[in-house]
Amino acid sequence: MIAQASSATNRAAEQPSFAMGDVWKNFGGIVALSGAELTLQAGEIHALIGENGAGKSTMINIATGVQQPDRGTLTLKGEQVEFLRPKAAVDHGVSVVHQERNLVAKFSVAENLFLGRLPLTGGFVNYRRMVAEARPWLEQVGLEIDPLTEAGRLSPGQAQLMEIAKALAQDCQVLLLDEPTSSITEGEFAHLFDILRNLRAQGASIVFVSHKLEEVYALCDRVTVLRDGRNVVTGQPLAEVSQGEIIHAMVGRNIEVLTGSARQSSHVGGPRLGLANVSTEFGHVGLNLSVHAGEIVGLYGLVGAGRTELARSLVGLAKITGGEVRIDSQPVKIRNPFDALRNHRLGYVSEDRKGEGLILQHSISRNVSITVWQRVEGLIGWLTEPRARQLVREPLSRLNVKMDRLSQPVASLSGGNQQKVSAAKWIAAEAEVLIFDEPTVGIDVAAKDAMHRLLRELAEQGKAVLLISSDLREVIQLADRILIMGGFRLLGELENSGDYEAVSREVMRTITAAASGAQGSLA
Amino acid sequence: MMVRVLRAQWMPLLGAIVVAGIVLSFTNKEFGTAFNVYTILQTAAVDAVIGLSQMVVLSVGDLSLAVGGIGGLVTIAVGNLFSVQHWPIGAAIVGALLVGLVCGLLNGLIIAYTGISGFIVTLATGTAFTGISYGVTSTIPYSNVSSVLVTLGQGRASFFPYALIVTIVATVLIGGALRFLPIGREVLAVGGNREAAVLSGLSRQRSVLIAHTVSGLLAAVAAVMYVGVLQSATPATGSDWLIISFAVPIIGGTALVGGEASASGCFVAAIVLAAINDALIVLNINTNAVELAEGLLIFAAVLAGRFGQVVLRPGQRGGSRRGGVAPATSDVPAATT
Amino acid sequence: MRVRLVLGTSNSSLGLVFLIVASWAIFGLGGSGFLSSFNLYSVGQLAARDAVLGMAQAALVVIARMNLAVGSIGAICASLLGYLLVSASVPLPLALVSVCVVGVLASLLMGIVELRSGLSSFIVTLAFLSAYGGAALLATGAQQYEITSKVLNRLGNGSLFVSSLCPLVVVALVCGVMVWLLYTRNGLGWRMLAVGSNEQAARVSGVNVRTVVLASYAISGLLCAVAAVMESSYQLNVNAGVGSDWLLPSFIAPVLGGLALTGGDISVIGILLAALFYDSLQSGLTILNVPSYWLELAEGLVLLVAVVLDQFRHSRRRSAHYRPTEVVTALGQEPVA
Repeated sequence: MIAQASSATNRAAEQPSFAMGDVWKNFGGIVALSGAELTLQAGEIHALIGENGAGKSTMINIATGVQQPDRGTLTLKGEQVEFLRPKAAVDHGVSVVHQERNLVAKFSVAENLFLGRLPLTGGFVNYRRMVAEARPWLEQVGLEIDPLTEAGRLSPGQAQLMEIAKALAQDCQVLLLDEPTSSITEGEFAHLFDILRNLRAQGASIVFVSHKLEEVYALCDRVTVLRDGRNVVTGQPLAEVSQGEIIHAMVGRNIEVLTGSARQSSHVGGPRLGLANVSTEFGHVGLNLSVHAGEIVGLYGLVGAGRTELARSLVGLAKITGGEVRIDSQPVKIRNPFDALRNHRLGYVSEDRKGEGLILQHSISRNVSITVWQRVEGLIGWLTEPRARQLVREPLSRLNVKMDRLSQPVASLSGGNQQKVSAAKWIAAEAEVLIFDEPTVGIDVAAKDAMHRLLRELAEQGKAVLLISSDLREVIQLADRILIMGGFRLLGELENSGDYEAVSREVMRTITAAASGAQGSLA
Repeated sequence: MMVRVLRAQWMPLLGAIVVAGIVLSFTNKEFGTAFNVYTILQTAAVDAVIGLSQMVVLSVGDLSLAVGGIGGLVTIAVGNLFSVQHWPIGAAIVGALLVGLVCGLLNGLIIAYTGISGFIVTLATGTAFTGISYGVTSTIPYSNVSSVLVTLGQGRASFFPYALIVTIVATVLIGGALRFLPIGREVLAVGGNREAAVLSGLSRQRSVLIAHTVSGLLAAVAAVMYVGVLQSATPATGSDWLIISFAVPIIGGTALVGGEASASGCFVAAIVLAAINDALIVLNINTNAVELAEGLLIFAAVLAGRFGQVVLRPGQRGGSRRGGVAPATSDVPAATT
Repeated sequence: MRVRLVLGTSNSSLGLVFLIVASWAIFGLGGSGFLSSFNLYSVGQLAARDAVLGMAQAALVVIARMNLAVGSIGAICASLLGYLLVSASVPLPLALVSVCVVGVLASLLMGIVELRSGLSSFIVTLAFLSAYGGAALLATGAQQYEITSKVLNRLGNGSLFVSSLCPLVVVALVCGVMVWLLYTRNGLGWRMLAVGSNEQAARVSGVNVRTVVLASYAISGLLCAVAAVMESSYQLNVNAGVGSDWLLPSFIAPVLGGLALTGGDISVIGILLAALFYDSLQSGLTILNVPSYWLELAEGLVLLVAVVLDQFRHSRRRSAHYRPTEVVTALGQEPVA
């Protein structure tokens, strides 16, 4: 396997330590990976980047034996291997530290390190040896705690270091880290970077999955970018790629230019939705924004910026810890989505359409009418399908949902049509303020176009729309104003002139500026 | 090790009970007598083993509603083998213990390899076992009980019932196995975080199988003891074991969700419950209040456990991406593949 | 798919019809008197109660919870009925209303505790199983009440139109119709199905999950009360022991009737047919001179077989269901990138 690298790297002739080639993976019709590849050298930190749905998780799962590819090869030091279960990967020296913690909370740190390979004496667990053998690994990652500490009591940062120590104790040559800095403090990740650099110096191959470009540039040697299950950038040295190019690779859509010009905004009156100095339980602080009737406000940011968390807090699924949320300039306390809908006509189209946006086993009409049952219920709640369907047909036809019958279960629809159904119920509910969270991820062009048309119509009808999207082109096409979010803060705001080049440059500049601000502390 | 005992969850509970007991023994002459203490410990001896039987299953994150059913079946097994088949008592006991082990094994096989929730499987098998007991005996208990068993069940040295020896041995063995045997750690790991355990090469099937099999064996031990205590092998044994089997481990600090178990806690909790029961009788309070009290105690124990979790878990910066609301799951442990 | 199940046109209902016809044929052919009006009457009597009991359990299973305290609520209701009619000489209509109110309140309390504490319905209803059972015993002092109300007597032991039809069957059918209407023609019922299928999606879509949960508990309690009245009407001799054998039958009817234990669907026809089959089976076995002691074994086996078959049927359907996005899935689930 020849690594793809420019001539600037003299490692080009070296054999890769671990390579995944031409990997295909399909989940019951959804293509997660189509010919993706990843090639690692010994002694490097390799960034793996991609938006949600790009295929990173699947690559990791395949590399670690959690899943098997439909097609494709895994090669370890030139030899082809097959990982039929996670233990096989670990035995071959491929370890992973996931984004979410994977530890047995009631066991000690030492025992978590040696889970499944406890030191035994005469068939009995030897705790003294376990502690003694754990210490050097903990020291290597700089975790200064008693190995007998209960793992559940560690901070997320400490727990992550513990999992890295566990990987080291497993004698790993290839270490995959999935979004390792998503829930640790700044101090902790400077320390983490030191450890990773040490490992690199010892010859390990490290895969660093992250959406935080400032960290990627501070730490990694080469980068691979995935989009829609394929490679857009493969093993390029980071010195040769700019941040802008990476972002473009991540988010650019390789489809035809969408029709429709940028909107003319026309909004009057005070804001329908206003945030004044709002902070949430997730760590948002001091957020100020407003959305007027007839306006589409785009909330742009990269994955992990905190936009979804904000939306969920606004609609009552999580806590607002400070500041004021105002509907029609009146301060409100929204306790749950029921309250949000009934009392404030606020709706949220979830980014997790299959988990939260839809009840897959239910019919299309049930899914769409759920927000308005109370409107058609008779005395004592009498409700029939025909009554419910009355309110359902119009939103569905507006969105041009392709279906056989209204009683069809939603699970049988395509992704695009599912997304339309998920949105349709808020149309039926006649919500006045709508938050759309990544409404066009993973759907086909025609469906995407329909969603865009819907958003414009809603604005024209006088609704206030907050559009959360990681698709900059989409945002520039639709929004009147663009808010830029990063790291749970609002980085900037600008009026949308509609000129893609100018606006996207400005947005990228804002994001990169915020990133370099952070980068200074990492070098 | 001593420090760990002192810090155990049940220390405050035990302390309170000891104090209350001492007070009671001064104010009420009957309570403090050797015979009364013996009565308490005798009840506790059986209840603790019943609790251990459930505890092992709880450790792996499952539930067994069949503890009572197995108890009943083993009871009539020992009765039948001894008084009808005329086996020597030693062989009868071994035979009966084997019956319990096989019942547990059956549960374990079904649960581990079909993925159906333990709740519904053991509800069904528990009923089936009880049914067999009633069927074989036509509800008539065996009254010819070996004197060996009677000595075991009713013999004592002043306030110390011989049955308690069995309990202590069982508690030490099970507690030790959970702590020092790799299979014990595997059971607790699977119960604590199945994904982490499986990713590290541990086996859910094996753990579930072992847990249920040992549970069956322990239920059998409790049943054999109880035959001696009651001096009768009746198929009705086990009909009231359901609540005890949960109350004892939960009050003793075993987590309902798996991953955390305390054999010594079962021991103490069984004594506590038996003492409360006895105190109510001695004080002439209505014994029906015991069931009520048990229910309330379960609540208190679970809530106290959760409170400890909330206080002790370190906070996370930024929360989870998923918006802080855990995905809803059915209370009936869903079938797993 | 699931929504259509409400109309009972699922495969399991057809299968049950077949089973009922087959069992009636088999038992009847023995010339044993199974098909006599006397026997069919008693089958109807028992099936009616078991159907209502099954609906009481189904009310919570539908929203992905369970009610282990059905029997204890039944005990409270039956004892209260006995007390009101016999000791307090309260007129029948008032007594019936009071009993229903108490059933609702008792169950509602469990719902409130579940919501407030965040504990699973398993542990909450388990604790209340004990608490309410003890409370009933405490309040009545294990007293027996002999019900002399002629109306109740005729309800439970009289006949309607034909000598083989017990009026209780009509009661069960009426309850069935009402439950069916609830889940097919009522907004509250629709919300319950939504919460059971995907609680989080329902929540995000603006359903008031709290209200739905409390309403489900209330309905369950009401149906427990009805079942208690039904049992009282044919036993005519009630005490706090009523309900002690309700736990298993309360699950058999729903499971056999095709309900998923993970919630989200209900088949009223299935529950009615399942109860009929189950009691036909019991009656048939009795007629064939199988000693009654073996009937419990049959119960357990029926449930076990039903659950295992259901698992294989659902696992085919389950693979079509969405599973939540997860980065790490070691157990064969499907992440989306």
